[in-house]
Amino acid sequence: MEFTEHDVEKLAGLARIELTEQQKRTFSKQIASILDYVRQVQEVDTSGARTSEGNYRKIESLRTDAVSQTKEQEEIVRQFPDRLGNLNKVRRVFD
Amino acid sequence: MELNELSIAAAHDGLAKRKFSSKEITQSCLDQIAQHDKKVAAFLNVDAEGALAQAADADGRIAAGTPGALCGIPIALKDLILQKGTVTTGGSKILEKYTATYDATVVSKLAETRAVFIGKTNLDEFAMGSSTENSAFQKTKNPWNLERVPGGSSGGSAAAVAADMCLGALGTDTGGSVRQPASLCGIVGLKPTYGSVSRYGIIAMASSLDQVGPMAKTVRDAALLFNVIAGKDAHDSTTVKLKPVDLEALERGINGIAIGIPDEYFIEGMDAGVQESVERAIEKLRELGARVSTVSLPLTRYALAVYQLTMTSEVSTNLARYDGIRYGHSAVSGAGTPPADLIEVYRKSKAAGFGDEAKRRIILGTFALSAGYHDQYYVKAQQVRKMIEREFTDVFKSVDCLITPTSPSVAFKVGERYADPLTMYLSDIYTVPANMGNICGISVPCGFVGGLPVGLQVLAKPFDEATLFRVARAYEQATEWHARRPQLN
Repeated sequence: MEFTEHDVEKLAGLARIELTEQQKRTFSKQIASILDYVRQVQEVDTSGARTSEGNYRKIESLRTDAVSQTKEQEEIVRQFPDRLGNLNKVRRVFD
Repeated sequence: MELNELSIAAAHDGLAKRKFSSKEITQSCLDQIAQHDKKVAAFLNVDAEGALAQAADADGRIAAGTPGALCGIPIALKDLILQKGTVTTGGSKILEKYTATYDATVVSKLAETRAVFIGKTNLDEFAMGSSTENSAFQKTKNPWNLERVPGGSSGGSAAAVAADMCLGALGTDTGGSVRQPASLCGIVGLKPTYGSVSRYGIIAMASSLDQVGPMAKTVRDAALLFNVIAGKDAHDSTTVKLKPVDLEALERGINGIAIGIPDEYFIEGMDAGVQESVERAIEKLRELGARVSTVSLPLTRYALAVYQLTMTSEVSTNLARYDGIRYGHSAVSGAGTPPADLIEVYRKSKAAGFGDEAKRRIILGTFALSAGYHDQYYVKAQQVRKMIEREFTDVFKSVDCLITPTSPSVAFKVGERYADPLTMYLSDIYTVPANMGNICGISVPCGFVGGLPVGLQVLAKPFDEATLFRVARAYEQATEWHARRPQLN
């Protein structure tokens, strides 16, 4: 299957990853060969498959949707790349 | 025999009889690491001080009463498993400085039994690989031959157990990452049924497949570890209540057990030596009283393709969390030009933090889930996955377990498959069906080819780990492969 550097670039945009030109070239070839392999799933007649999305598993237990106090606040906050007190400081979303 | 060479069961026996202390066993493992881990590179982090303190505490418990099966036993953890206060990298640069803020459930359970945590082991980045070459930090070597890979992704745990640097270890298995390295390193590795062991505190790769499994020197040890880590957990809604495996029942042999040999697992491309070892093992099981028949699982040939589509799709969503905002590597605090806007923070943090394998899988998974391809790839794969599960259900109506090779080859050379992802993925051809079919599987040593271990895989229906342990244990007791040790000097 054809899988171009342009395809890789478009998907990298969707996934919010920056790739180098070299990575785009290598990945397009490697992914084309993987897609050639995985495409064989399309040979399988799945008209009898009962679910459209497949594997729903029975959920064995649900917990109460209740608020609880985390005990690790300081440990979590300490790992913010940038902070203002206990607030996580990020780049502005809107101009 | 040195203390670090003992099985968990033998060490427990010696501890209970006060023949030696946990401190002595732990020190013996630490000495082995100090002496050989420069060559093997199994560990990313060794906590000598912490381990000795835990050992002293365990010794106190032993003196005070009857110790549990894992009390005072040095265990290694794959560095994908969160242990509060320790750096947990997932084998990735993006988490190089990440300190776990809580304990995984499997860690809490081991800690309750007073097991000793000796260190964190190397792995392919986020468990993505079959050779441990994708680690951002180091390449682990196979203790049987230092020019060969240990398998992966739990290659560090497998090498640590095989090299007697710990008495047992935990790995994770999404497509074979416990069983394949166990096979390549000549130890025992179990992939429990999905839902047996809590995933709480395990860095996620493919959430509908990931499962923590024990890696050990004997089948009995693997069963001891499994009994401690398995069971229902309020933090993981997919876990179920389980009865512990009856360890005494494992010793009762396999007379009359029905074993199926699936035709589809003996394909072209398998090493002749591997095939021979597995065929001899089947003969041995027959001598032990098993009824052996041939079965067919025609959808097996699609399992790897279904796995690739499912796993990469889940990877692309699970890895989206490493965006440089809350923890892990961030372009915000990194060197170089500060990112212009929020999107730049995401793009640059991921670019610098992820290795090529992670990036490639994110791109492929994003493709399989994208508009126009979602039905053709992801949905189709889920339908075939369901059919694979049904095929296994049907075959287990006529047999108690299946026997296959664990890996089509023995350990390959470092670098041999690294540049060609598809060839690397084919290393998992015999292990992925169990993950796709939601069943359990174990790898047990069954021979050597050119001085390298071969693994035998036993597969059983969901939540029938007891049958796996029983068959593997009977085989282990009738052979001596598991008792061989690599020469590291």
